[in-house]
Amino acid sequence: MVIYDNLFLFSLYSIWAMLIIGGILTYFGYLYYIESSKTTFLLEELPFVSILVPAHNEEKVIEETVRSIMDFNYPIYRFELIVVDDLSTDNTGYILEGLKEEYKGRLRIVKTDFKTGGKGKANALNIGLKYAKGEFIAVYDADNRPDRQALYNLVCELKKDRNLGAVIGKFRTINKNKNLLTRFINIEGLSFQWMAQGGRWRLFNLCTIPGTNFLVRKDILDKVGGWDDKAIAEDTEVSIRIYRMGYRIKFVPQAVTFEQEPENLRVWFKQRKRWVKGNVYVVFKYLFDRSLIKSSAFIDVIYFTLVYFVFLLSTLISDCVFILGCFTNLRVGIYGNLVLIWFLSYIMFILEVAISLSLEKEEFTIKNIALIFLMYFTYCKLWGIVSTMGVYSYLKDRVLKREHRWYKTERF
Amino acid sequence: MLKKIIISLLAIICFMIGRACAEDKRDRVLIIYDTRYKFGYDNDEVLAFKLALGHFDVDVFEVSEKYYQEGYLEHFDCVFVLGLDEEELSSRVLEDLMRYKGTTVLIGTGFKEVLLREQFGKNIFLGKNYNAVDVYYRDLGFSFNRKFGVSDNNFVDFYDVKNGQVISYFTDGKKQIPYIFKYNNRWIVTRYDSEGTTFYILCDVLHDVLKKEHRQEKRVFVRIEDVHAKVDVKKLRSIGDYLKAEGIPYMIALIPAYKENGRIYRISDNRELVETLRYMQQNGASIVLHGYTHQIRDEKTGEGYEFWDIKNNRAPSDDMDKYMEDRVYKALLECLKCGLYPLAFEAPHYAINRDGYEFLKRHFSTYVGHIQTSEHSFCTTSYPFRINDIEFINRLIPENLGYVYSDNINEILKNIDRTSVVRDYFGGFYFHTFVDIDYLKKIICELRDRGYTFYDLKQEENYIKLKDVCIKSRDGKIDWDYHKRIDIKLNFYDIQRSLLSVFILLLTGMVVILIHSIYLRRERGW
Repeated sequence: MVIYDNLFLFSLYSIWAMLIIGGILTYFGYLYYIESSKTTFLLEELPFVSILVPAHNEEKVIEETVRSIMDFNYPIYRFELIVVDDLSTDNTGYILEGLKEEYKGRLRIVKTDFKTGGKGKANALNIGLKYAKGEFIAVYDADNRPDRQALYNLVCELKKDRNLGAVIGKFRTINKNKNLLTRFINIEGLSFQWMAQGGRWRLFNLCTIPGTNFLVRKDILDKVGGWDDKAIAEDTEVSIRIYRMGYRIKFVPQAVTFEQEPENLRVWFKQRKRWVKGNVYVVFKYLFDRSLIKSSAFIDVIYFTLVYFVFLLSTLISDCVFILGCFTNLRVGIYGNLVLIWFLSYIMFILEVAISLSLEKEEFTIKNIALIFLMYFTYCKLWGIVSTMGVYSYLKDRVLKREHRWYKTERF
Repeated sequence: MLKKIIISLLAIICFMIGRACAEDKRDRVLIIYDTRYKFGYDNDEVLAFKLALGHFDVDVFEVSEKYYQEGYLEHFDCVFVLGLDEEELSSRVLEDLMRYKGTTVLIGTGFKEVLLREQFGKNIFLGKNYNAVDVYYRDLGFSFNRKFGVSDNNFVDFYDVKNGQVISYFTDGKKQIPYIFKYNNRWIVTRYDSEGTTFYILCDVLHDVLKKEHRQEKRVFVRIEDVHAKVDVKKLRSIGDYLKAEGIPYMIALIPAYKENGRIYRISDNRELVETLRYMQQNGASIVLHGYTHQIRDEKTGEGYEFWDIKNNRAPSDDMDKYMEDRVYKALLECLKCGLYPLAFEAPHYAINRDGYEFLKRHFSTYVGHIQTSEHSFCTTSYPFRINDIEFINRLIPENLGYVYSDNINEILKNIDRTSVVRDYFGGFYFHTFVDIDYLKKIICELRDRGYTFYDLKQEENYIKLKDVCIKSRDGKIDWDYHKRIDIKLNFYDIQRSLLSVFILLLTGMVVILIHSIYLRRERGW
């Protein structure tokens, strides 16, 4: 029984630790919000920027995306758009040809063939990178509707500070009102970005590239050799390499893009499972990498290790203890006001998320707040399931020496 | 899809919470009482009675007559009404009882009106009788030990039972005065005692009331009492040798530290004693922890109380949890150090309050002795059978035969006659090491001749779990586990407290931030 009690204690402490980390990040995220809302964006000399958009069967969304990018509040002769049409089998190519006519000279279409293409996003980006002429490289996913000001704000921040390797913006959900899932994703996105990214930047000058809406120096990309096409989450992986070179990545909340989120659980599961596997890949690649220890990105690697191994394990243990307690006579021999502890954790979670909602004009509604209460038991549990599946699947792939197959998120 | 999953997740959670809250399918029993104490006494009679029901594997609830709500008893399979004061039963309860179809048991006084009703067999009250001398049950007569207490509490409500069946009665030399009688599924007990023969008769009748036939067993235990660091090791050894030779299992009530004139002598200081105790442990003895020092303040071990402040009639500490944890943990470590593995607990002089019992319930599977059934003074109740899982008791090994102090064998045999009116009677007596061993030999021979066998505690599943100490027994085998954890874990309370304050600090911070943020929103006109 001592083992059982110890397991329970372990899970109790690590869940607390996680919540306390969350609380601290929220605090610094808020601080960063206050500070950054005073930033002004001004630049005299605008650099040339290449915008990369990898596209694979994106007929539903590609036109809108190209148009919003072309509509950037940025001098038209100072940026180019490169769409990498990665073996699309639908009308993507046709639509792009039409657009090419319209935006002569500013839109470049790179088509991959069966030798070079079809190997996922990182590969497509690497191909696009070969054609890029800009000093800075911006990346947008094919489903994005960036805000007109987004690029300009990103460029201003990156240009200002030579220590920055990249800057990232914020993303919001277009289809947040579609159903319960997208509403949850919307809330999750807000709290994850504002609080986690903002807080980490403020505390450790640390951010990870979220896969879209970011700007990176081309010379750095060339030096690191582009994206790692074996990585499952190429964005996180490249972030760590940027940090290893001694550069930083900054969060610029004023650069906003709107993106589509999964509208059903099947797609959500696949997408998130890939994220989890990607992060676990990073853990395995860098946890024992000594060259990284001095860099602040190592904090991220440790953080991922904590999340996917320690914290995940402890939530599983705590669920088991709960279920065993319900159905059997197995009891934990630890006493103390456990209900109070549980309740405080719940309140903590709600407050953390509520604060991030309050930073957006239209998100701080009764409905959304009610959703937070529900989220703790539902969406968070789903995350637990996805994480378990992701970690398991990654380990299985590793043991069986299988390569990960890229899964492209479906559009709606 | 998501909605479905959410709904099913919620359903599962609800189900599990429901399951967690749901009772096992045990009979539900209600006690309705008018007052908890007999006039002039401190013993919590309701508690004493409730604990007795712990023998029957039922769920017991209690409600005061004052707060009784109409119709409440319909939720129960059986209802006990305890009348301890002279007042008649309130009409609210009375009317409910008339309608109630389940088993009803009226105990004590104040039932004149109820018993007149047809449902209870129209028994006419003939007055109070003060002259009862003997009590008869199953053709056995016992003398009715009347107590001369503060008030004249020795009366019996005398009813003329025409329709019912008398199960036990008193006599005053001339006539029979019904003690327990039944009419259909309604039982009446005309007098309530929580001690003595009448209590034991009631305890036996409860088997019929609750329809729980228990198997008869003739088993008693022997306990060697107050074994401490200054005990006469030779005598102890001879007791161990004798019991080993006879093949009799027994218990040792062990006090790990002996305090005298401010100095503490630990058992581990006395090598010979430790060896003797280990020898006994291997040859039939189960060790029962009998406190740490069996005293408080500057008293001498064995004379003082440890978990009850007898001078002020209160608990020795306001934080009994900490107080007990401190002492019991020290005691356990001392035992482990000597290779001795206690399996149960017995409070010195049985004196301990509810908080203390609750602490014990969390850490000990088994308690031996009497139960102190009062928060206000040192009153104990001794039970004639084992009690499981009720209130603050996990398992009680009851002691009810007294102790050997000289050639008082007959006294113990008389006690055994009294208590064995209970069909599955269980009990024991204890023996001090300083008493002549011949007396012990005598009583054991006598008990053997009468067909009694001796109880072996370690054959049962017992456990002690306190912090990092874990001792378990099963089928005579003892397992133990002791990890010296790092301090951080040893002190779960402190870490919990400090974490809690960090948490509350953070929470306050969050609230402040949220308010600030809402204020900013207002300012911006969002």
